[in-house]
Amino acid sequence: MAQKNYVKQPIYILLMTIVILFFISFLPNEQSVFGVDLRYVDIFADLKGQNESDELEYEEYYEEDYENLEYEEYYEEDYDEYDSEDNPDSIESESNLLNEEIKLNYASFAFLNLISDLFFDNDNEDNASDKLTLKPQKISGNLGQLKYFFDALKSAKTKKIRVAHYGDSAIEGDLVTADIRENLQDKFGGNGVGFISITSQDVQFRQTTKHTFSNTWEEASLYSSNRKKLDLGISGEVFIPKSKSWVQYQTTRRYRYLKSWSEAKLLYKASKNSSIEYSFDGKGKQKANLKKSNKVSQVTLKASGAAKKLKIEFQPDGNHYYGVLLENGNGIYVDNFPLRGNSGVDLQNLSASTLQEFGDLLNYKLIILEFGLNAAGSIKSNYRWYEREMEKVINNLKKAFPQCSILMISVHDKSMKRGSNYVTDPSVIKLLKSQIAIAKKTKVAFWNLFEAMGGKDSMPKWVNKNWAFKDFIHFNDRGAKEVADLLSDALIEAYNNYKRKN
Amino acid sequence: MQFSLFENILNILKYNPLEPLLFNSGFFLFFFLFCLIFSQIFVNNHRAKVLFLLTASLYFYYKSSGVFFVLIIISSLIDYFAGYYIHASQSKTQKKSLLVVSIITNLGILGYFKYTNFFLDTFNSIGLSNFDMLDIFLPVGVSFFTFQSMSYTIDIYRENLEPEKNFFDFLFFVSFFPQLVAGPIVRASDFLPQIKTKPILSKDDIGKAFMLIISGLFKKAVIADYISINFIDRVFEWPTRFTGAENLIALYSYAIQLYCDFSGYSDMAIGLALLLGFRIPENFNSPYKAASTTEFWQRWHISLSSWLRDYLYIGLGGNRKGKFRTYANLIVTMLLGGLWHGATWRMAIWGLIQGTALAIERKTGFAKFTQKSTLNRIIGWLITFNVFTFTLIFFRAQSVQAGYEMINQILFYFHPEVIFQFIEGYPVVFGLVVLGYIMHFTPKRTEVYLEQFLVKMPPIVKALILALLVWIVAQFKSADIQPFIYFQF
Repeated sequence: MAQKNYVKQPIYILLMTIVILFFISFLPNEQSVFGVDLRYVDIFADLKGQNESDELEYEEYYEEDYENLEYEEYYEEDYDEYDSEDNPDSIESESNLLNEEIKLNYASFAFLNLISDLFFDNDNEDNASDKLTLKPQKISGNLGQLKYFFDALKSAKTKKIRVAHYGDSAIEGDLVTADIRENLQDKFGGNGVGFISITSQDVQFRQTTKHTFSNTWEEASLYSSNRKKLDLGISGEVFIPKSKSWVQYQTTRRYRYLKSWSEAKLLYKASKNSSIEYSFDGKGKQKANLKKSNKVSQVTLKASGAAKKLKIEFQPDGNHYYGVLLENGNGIYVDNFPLRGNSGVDLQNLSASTLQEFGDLLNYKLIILEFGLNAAGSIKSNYRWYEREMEKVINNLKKAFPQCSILMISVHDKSMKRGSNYVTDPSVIKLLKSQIAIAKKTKVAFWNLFEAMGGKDSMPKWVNKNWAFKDFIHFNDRGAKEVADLLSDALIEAYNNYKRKN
Repeated sequence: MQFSLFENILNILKYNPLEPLLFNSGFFLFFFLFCLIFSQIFVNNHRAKVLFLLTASLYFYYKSSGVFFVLIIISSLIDYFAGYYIHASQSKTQKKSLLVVSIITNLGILGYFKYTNFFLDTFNSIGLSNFDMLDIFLPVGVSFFTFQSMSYTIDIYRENLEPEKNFFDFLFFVSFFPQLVAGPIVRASDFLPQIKTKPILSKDDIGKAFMLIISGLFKKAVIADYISINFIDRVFEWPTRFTGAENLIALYSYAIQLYCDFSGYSDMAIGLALLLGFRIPENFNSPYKAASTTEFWQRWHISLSSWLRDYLYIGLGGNRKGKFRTYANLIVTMLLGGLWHGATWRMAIWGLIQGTALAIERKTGFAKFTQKSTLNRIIGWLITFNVFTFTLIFFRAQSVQAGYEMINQILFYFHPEVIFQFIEGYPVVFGLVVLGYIMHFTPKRTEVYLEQFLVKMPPIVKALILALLVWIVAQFKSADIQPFIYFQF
C-alpha cells in the first residue's frame, strides 16, 4: 500500500496560522500581563503602513515642541551688541538656512518621500531617512556670558586657561573631552591632559593616560557615596590614603599634545604637615613637603625635562587629596570631570567656598555641563524639578566662579523601540525643552547637541555608522570625536565672531 | 487609503537592502504560502513548477541584493557549460582547463566581492602600497552559491556525477531560496535528482519540518537576536569598558548565540525546503556536545566541513602524502575555512587555531582517547568546548587588538562579584542564555519525543503553535532595549 501523501497539508497549516495571527492583530494593544508589557502584534502592519496614526501623532508632538525649541542667541545688556546683518559670515547664514531646512523637512517629510518614491529611482544612497546628516549648530543663548572665556582666549599665549568639562557616563574615560582638548590646544596652545583624579573607575578604557593606583584609598564622591560628608573637590571626589598609598600616571601616544609634560601639580588640603615622595620616569625619588592649611593647596612637582611617567607615594596622613594636573606651559587645558550615572543636579552639593579655593589656584574660564541622559525617564515625567535643581547648580557655580563662562550642552538623542524600529525617546525632547528653559533662566550659553547630531531619530544612524553603542545611548570613541568636533567648531566660530566685534 | 495600500504593497515588494527577506520577517510568511500554493498547482507539471520556484528564488535574492541576482545567472551559465563540456570532452587537458575556468569564475566572484578590500588592506599595512579601499557591495550568500557550483563541476571532473542536461534545473539547484542566503551548502548529487521526482510528504515529514522551523525560529529570532543586541554586542564593541566577568559571560553567551543564530537559520532552511518537498541533509548536530575538535567539525556546519574535506583537504592530497603533509593540509584547510567565514586576519587566526587543534589531535590520537570511557569523554568535552569558545574571541572581536584586550580584561580585571549583579541586572538575557544551553544539551531522545508529539497533533494545533511562536518573536523583537548597567565593584 502506498503511503499517504500529505503534501498539501502545509498549505492548510500556514493558512490557519495567518488567520490566527489576523485575529490576534485585533486584540487590544499595549497591555500588561503579570507585570510584563505586551506589544501589539500585527503581521499586516507593513501592508497597512506601520502604525500610521501613531507615527503621525508623534510627528505632530515633535513639531509642536520643536517650535518651542527655537532659542535665538542673545546678549546681556551690558555686552556690546553687534549687528548681525552687517556680518558677512557665510557659515552663519548657512546654518540659518539649515535651521529653515529642518523645519521644512519635518513638516513635509512624508509628502517628500512619496514624491521622490514615485519619480526617482530611489537607491538607498538617496533615501533621506537612512542617511545621517549632521546639522552643525551655533552656540546660542546668552553669548554675552561667554565673554570671560573669549577674553581669556586672547591671552592664551601668556597664561594658562582652564576649562572644566562636567558630564555623565558619556564623557567617562576622557571621551569627548580629549578631542575638545586636542582641538583647542591645536589652536590656542597647551600640552598635557590637565586634571586626573587619584583613583578612577574608567582607567581600563581611558586612552589618554595610563593610570594605576594602590587599593588603599578611601574615597568619597558625588556618584558613589559620601557617608562622612567630606568636603568634595572640583571633580566631585576626595581621596584619603588609609595606609601607604601610591598613584602612577603615564602618558600614551594617542593624542598629539599629550605625549609628555614638564610639570605636575598635586592638589590637596592638609590638616597637618606631611610629605610625599615622587619620581619621574622611574628615576630618583624626590620629596615634597605639604604645608598645613585650611584651604585647598597645590604643590608643583617639576620634571627635569619632558616626562612621560610620574609616581607619587603618600603617607597615611589623613589629608585630603583631589588629583594631579599634568601640563606643560601656557595654553588651554580641558579637565575631564565625569560623574557616572548622574543627572548633573548633584553638582549643587559641591560647596561654593571650596570651589572658590580651587578657583583661586586655577584659572577656570569656562565650565561645560553635559548632562541629561540620566534625567530622561518616561514620557510622562515632568522636568520642573530638573529645571529647579539645575538652576541651583548653575547659580552655585556662578557664585564660586564669578569670572567664568558657562556653556550648557543639551541631552543627545537616545532611542526607544517602537515596534521593531528605533525612534527618539519622547522624553528626550521634553528634557531638551527644559534644558533650554534652564539656560534661558540662568542666562548662560547653550549648545544643541541633539540637533547637531542630526535631530530626531539620529541615534540609530550613529549606531549604523559605528559611532555609537548598540544600547542606542552611548557614543563610542569615534562618535565622541564627532561630538567634540561639532562643539569645538561652534565654540571657535563664536569666538571669531566675538573677536571681530571687540 | 486605497492609494496608500497599493503604495505600501509596492514598497514591500521592492528591493530594500535594509530589509532582506529573512525567514523571520512577516512578509516571508506570505511569500512562502504563495510558493506552497503554486508548487501544489503545478504538482503535475515539472517544468512549470521548476520555473515558478526558480523565479521565486531569484526574486528572493533580488529582495536582499537587488540587481546582483544576475550574478547567479551568469556564474551558473558558465558552470553549466563547463560541466557539460568537461563530461563531453575526451582529452584530459581539456577537462582540466575547463575545470580551471569554472573554479576561477567562482573563486573570482568570491574573491572580488569578498576579498578585494582584505588584500588591499593587507598590502597597505605591510607598506607595499597605499590603495584606497573600494566600495564593493557584498551580495548575500555569495560564499554559499559559489561553493555549491564548484562542487558540481569538480564532481563531474572526478566522474562522480553526470552533468545536468537542463539549464533551468541547474540554475534552480544553485538558487533554491531556502539555502541560498546562509546555507546549508547542498550537493548537486543530493539535490538534482529530487527536482525530477514528485514530492511525497509523510505525516512524520511534516512534523519534522515544523519542529525544525519552530525550534529554528526560536533559536534565531528569540535567543540569538535578543541576547546579541541587548548585551553581547556591547561588550565586544568595547571590551575595556566592562569587567573581566562581563567579558567572560559575553564570550560564553556568544558561543550559544552563534550556534543559535547559525543552526537556527539552517534548521529553518531545512524545514522550509522539506515542506516544499526537498530533503536537505542535517547541518548541525549539537556541536557543543563534541568531545574533540575532530568530532566538533563533524557536528558543526556539517555541509561546510564536509565540503572543505572533499574538495580542499583531499584536493591538497589529504592524508596520502605522509604525516607531515597531512598536518599541513589540515592546517591550511582550516585556515582557508577561517577566511571563508570572513575576510579578516582575525578569521585567519581563528582558522589557524582550529587547524592546529585538528593536527594535534591527529598526532596524539585524542579523538580515540575520548571514546574510551565516559570520564575521558567528559575530559575531552571540557577541553574542546572551552578551547572553541576562547577561539571565538578572535572570531567575534572587532580587531585583533580588541581580542587581546578582552583576554586581558578576563585575566587581570575580573571582579567576580559582578557575576551575581549581572544575573540580577540582565535577567532576560541570562535566562535566554541558560535556556539556549539547556536546549542544546537536551538529549536527542527528548528532541525525538517532541517531534513525535508534533507529528501526532492535528493541523490546527500545529498552526496554533506556529502562531504563538510568531507572536512571541514579535514580543522580543519590539521589546525595549535593555539599559546599560554599571556594576559596583
